[in-house]
Amino acid sequence: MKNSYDSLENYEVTAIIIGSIIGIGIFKMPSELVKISKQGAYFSVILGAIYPLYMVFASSYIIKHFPYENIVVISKRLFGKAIAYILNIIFCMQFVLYVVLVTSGLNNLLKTYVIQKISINKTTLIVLILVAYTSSKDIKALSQISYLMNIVSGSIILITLSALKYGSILNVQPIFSISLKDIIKGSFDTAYSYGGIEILLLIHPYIKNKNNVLKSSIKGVLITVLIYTWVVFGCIYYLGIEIVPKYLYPFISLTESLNIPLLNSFKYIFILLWAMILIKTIVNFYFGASLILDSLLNTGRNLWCLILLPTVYFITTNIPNEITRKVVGGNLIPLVTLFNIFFISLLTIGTILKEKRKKKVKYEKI
Amino acid sequence: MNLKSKFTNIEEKITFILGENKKVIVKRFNIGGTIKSAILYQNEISDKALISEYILKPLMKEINLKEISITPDLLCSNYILLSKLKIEKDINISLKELLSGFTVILIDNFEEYILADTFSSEHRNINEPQNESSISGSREGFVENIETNISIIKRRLKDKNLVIDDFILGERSKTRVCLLYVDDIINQDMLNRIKAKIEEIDVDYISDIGGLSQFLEFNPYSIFPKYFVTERPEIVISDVLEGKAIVMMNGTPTVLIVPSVFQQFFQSTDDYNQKIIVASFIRIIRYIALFTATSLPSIYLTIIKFNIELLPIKFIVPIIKSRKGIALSPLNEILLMEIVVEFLREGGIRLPQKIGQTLSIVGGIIIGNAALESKIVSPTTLFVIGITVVASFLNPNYNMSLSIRIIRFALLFIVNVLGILGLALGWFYIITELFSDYSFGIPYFNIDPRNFNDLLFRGNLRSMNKRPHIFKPNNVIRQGRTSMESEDDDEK
Repeated sequence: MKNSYDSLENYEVTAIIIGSIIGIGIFKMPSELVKISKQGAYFSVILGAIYPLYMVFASSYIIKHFPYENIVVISKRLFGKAIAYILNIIFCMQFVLYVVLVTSGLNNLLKTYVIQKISINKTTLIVLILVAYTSSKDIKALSQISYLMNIVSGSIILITLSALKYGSILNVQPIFSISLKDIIKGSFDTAYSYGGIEILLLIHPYIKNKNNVLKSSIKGVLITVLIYTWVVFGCIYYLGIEIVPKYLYPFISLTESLNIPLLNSFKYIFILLWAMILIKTIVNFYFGASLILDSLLNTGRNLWCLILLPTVYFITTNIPNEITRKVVGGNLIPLVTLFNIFFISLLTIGTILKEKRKKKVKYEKI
Repeated sequence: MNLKSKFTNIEEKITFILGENKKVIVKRFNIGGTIKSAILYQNEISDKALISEYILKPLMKEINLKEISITPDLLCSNYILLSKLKIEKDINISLKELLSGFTVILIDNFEEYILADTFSSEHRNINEPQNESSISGSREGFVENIETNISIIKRRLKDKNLVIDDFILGERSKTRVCLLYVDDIINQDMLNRIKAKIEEIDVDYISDIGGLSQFLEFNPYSIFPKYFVTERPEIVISDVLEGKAIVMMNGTPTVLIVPSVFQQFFQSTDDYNQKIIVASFIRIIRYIALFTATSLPSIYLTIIKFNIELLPIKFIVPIIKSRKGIALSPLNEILLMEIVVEFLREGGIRLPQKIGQTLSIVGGIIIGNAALESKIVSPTTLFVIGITVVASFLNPNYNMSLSIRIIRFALLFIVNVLGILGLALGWFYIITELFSDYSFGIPYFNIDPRNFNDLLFRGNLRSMNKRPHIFKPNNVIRQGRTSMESEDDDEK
């Protein structure tokens, strides 16, 4: 019975997709983009959505033909064990990289604003233990956590709308003088912020109504695009393009536009809540990594949740600050994105060829 | 045992039964003046007037053996004036029924035993449940007698699909347990799991429904109460109609709702009797109280220990002034007051009502004042703890408020070490525990947008056309289309 309830509803699929994409990237995305695309940064955000949309369309085609097998099993079927092993190990490393980068980002955020007195290595260990424990739970629970956290992040985003009261329309002008080249250049940067969408090909066997995968996934991507666009637009509108790149986390400054009588700043509440949102994102990636390893080696997912813990802890604690994190992320994430495009395209082509072969055999039999 | 189970001689039968149970009363008599017979019953739980009037009198006085030849069937259909009668050949089964209040009638030269239900016991009258008060709801509550409780439910729910399955639990106590459900609503897979779990229970004695619920739990170390316990029939009926099952036990006025979900513990009968806005407001207040009761001391601790800059200067100055001269650390100060409050609360519950009130006054006023005067705690801490205690009383369910108390302590310790991050981690852990727990295949906590109209708010009753999806009922439609809302696409 538990298995039958394990199946994910449409809204839970949307929740996992949003929950895997929105994480730490939202903090520095405005400053990175404004440097390149100036006032048109939010156009880059919209244009950057081509990457997740391509992934969704390609994935849904694959899912249509392999509804009950995840990416590991599909690649084994299409390319044989050896190639599938190599491709999926790289695919898994991407999730480990995301876990490391988001955990490190969370550490830096906390170090900057709230926990100066506590050793960051200790907090990393406690955070990762909680992440490993949560990841060992079933996908239904994780989707519900994502759903709840999306409600929290949605509420925070709504609160940041109060920045509209204080900003100036002059900050977002002139719009038409921005070069298309800069917008396209910026959109490449944004594409990296949509990382996490790849989880779709891991969770689809658990989805209840497989016919609605495309609809739920597009919904998830569009909500993310809307949130990202607002955050970038809001930051430009509230701070202006000269100030945004100077902030390490311009998104946090948006939350400062809200005044609560009992508190000096809403910033702390925001960080408290966003810390939970980030933990949820880490959990989703950790779940992805453990699921790939389990599908590859069939040793049980819980064991991988345990084994990954010291590995991830060791790498995370070796990223000392935000600058190093930025360098590591800046160098590796474009490569990961390129690999994802390559891998998913390869799978799509493999599926198309297999289907053609199937039809041919069927035709010959007739 | 099986060899002995087919006696025909009455004395052999009596000797065997007395050998098994010496406390049985034996009354020997002759049917129609000649056929040797006997009745056996348990003195304490049998109705003697019933036995004399409706069994002994007709058998001894009204049978004329010249006109008829008797058989157990004939006696049951023509002479014994009781409605619940059965004929049994197995002496072991007869012995079991004897212990449940049946009177066993033995007739010489007959293999069969006539079993007549003469059970009688004194029990409390139906009155209002003391622990679950309702302002506008019914004044009727369950009692210790399971038959009375079933009759209360049957009187209110005249559905032909209402099924009552009987179980006997406790190897020695032989306690009657009933499982109630509406057959065409409940998910059959879930029902089979519940039945299997009840049948698995193999103990000597189950004292109460709380003990029984622990045998039905899948995760006994979870801090949250898994099954809702109530004394109110209207709650039971609305739950049965949502696709849940009810476990009733003889000897206890509370019944168990299986499976239960987290949000159920924050709903009360009055929610559905009041206007939407009023009911929703009360429900939101309850959730705010939940947040306050679990987290306020931890938030206070993190502010005064780690993040004092969070507060405006106008708040910081009085807090610092009030803490001057207090030797205890913030955590110890909060813990001390929390423990004192727990003493008072626990003492107040166990003591008789009048003494309990005295205890509250002594505790609340004298100890509180003395703690302030002697600089053990600061007024701000006392204020925070006071609010927390009041907030914890807002929960309509006692079991849940007990769990909330423990969560508060756990959060305090983690916040003392990790500050505001501890709060985030603590909440995240609680959320994980809530979402990952299942009972009989049903998630303990589930946020489904289709059930939003009865979660944080109490929506329009006219729009609650469908039963909650979470219980996967066989029959989804609860009421006719009384609202303007269109149905979901998938249901079409």
